[in-house]
Amino acid sequence: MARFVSCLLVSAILLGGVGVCQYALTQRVEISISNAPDTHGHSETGTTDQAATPYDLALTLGFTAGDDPFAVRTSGDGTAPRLTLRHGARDLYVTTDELVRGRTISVTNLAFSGDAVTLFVEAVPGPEDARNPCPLRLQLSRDGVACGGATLWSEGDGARLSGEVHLSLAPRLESLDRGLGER
Amino acid sequence: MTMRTTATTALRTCVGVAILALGVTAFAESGARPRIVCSTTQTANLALQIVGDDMEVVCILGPGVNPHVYQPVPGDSRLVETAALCLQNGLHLEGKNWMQTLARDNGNKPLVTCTDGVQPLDLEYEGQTVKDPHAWFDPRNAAIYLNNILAAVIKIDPAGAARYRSRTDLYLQQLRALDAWIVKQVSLVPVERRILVTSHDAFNYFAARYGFKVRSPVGWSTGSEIGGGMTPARRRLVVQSVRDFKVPAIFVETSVNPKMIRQIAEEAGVRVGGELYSDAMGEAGSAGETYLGMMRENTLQVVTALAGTR
Repeated sequence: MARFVSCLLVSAILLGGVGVCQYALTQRVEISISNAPDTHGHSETGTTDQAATPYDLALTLGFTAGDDPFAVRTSGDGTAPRLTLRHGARDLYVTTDELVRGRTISVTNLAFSGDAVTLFVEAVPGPEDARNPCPLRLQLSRDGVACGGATLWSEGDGARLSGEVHLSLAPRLESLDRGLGER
Repeated sequence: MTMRTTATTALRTCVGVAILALGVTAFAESGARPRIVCSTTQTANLALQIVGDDMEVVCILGPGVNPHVYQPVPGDSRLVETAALCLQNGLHLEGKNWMQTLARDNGNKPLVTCTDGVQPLDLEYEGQTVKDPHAWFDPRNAAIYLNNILAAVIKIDPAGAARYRSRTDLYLQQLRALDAWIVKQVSLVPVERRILVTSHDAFNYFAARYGFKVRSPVGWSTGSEIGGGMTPARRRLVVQSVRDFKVPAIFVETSVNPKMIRQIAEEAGVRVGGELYSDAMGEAGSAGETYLGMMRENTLQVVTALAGTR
């Protein structure tokens, strides 16, 4: 009787262990699937290594960026950034160059992970543009496939364009389905 | 019981010692605050925005005092002796460079010229072309003042750099808002009426920034000499000159006796638009007590007088 009970216990433990392992494996696969970008135009297949394919970000200015007379300057060089793009504490792109209206700046080889990324953007509209609200468009892409995009506006009245944008890292399905015709 | 009493006594002693230590530390800290001695009210007000309570800001000139003609007194020397930093406007606003002399003669104190980096405008003064020192009337120049002061303050107290930088950034945003507000207000004045007739040429930077023309009536002397030696012939010249400008109002400064200006305005058929803060800011409690308040008040005076909304 005791032997029978022991066997039953051992079997139960072994079966339980197998069950736990299967559950864990299932969960891991699910996470991997949900984050994997689909670069083939089909959402049901394919898993790629996220770190392997970097993102590109296009910033398009709806204004001419000028020198900011109201910037903190202690270095004495008299030049303050006209456009700053930051991810957390890391500067992704900073320039003091003159940037004209309509220009698109490409920031490439960006490594992001997760479902979305929050970026901080600050730009200085020139004196003529600064009086009115000014737009700046951000478009994230990966392997040429559009992901999240957003447009930031300044408040006008001389204000800087400054704020955070939350961009999805997932590909935009409508761009992938292009060619299938109107729905 | 005895043990409890001992413990209570020990606890009280500890608390007492801690309070005493805190008090001593606070006293020592308050006594150790570095002092910034400024020549003008504008530089003092801007410095105060950066240092807050971390440093003591003292101004030699009081509200309404003319820096062009100020004569330092022995008390000023004693003040500068205790300074960790001295600030001056520069561009010869301080007549005969009196602040520079004070800083040099009283311990060779570090002196910051706030107008360093400003693109100066030319000014006709007593037949000569000089650099106009009234640069603070353009908020973009006030930003240059702030950055110059910030750099100097950080040198004195590098440990507080983050705080000073943060306060400066905040105030610069207020300057940005002020500048935009003035642009909006000035847009209410038709372009052809944007003529500033003032009792002395303190508003060239304001005029250049916001699209005004500055006019001085023929025969009108400048600065503190306004009205001095005014003969009937010269008076007629001034009145005719004001009429020729075809402006609805002329302006005086808070530091100038407005009596003669009012008479001339009456004869010329124009109004006295109001008193503008120029070389010095206003008394405590007045609109011109702060830099931002002074700029707003001046703008309101000019706009309401010239736009005909009053």
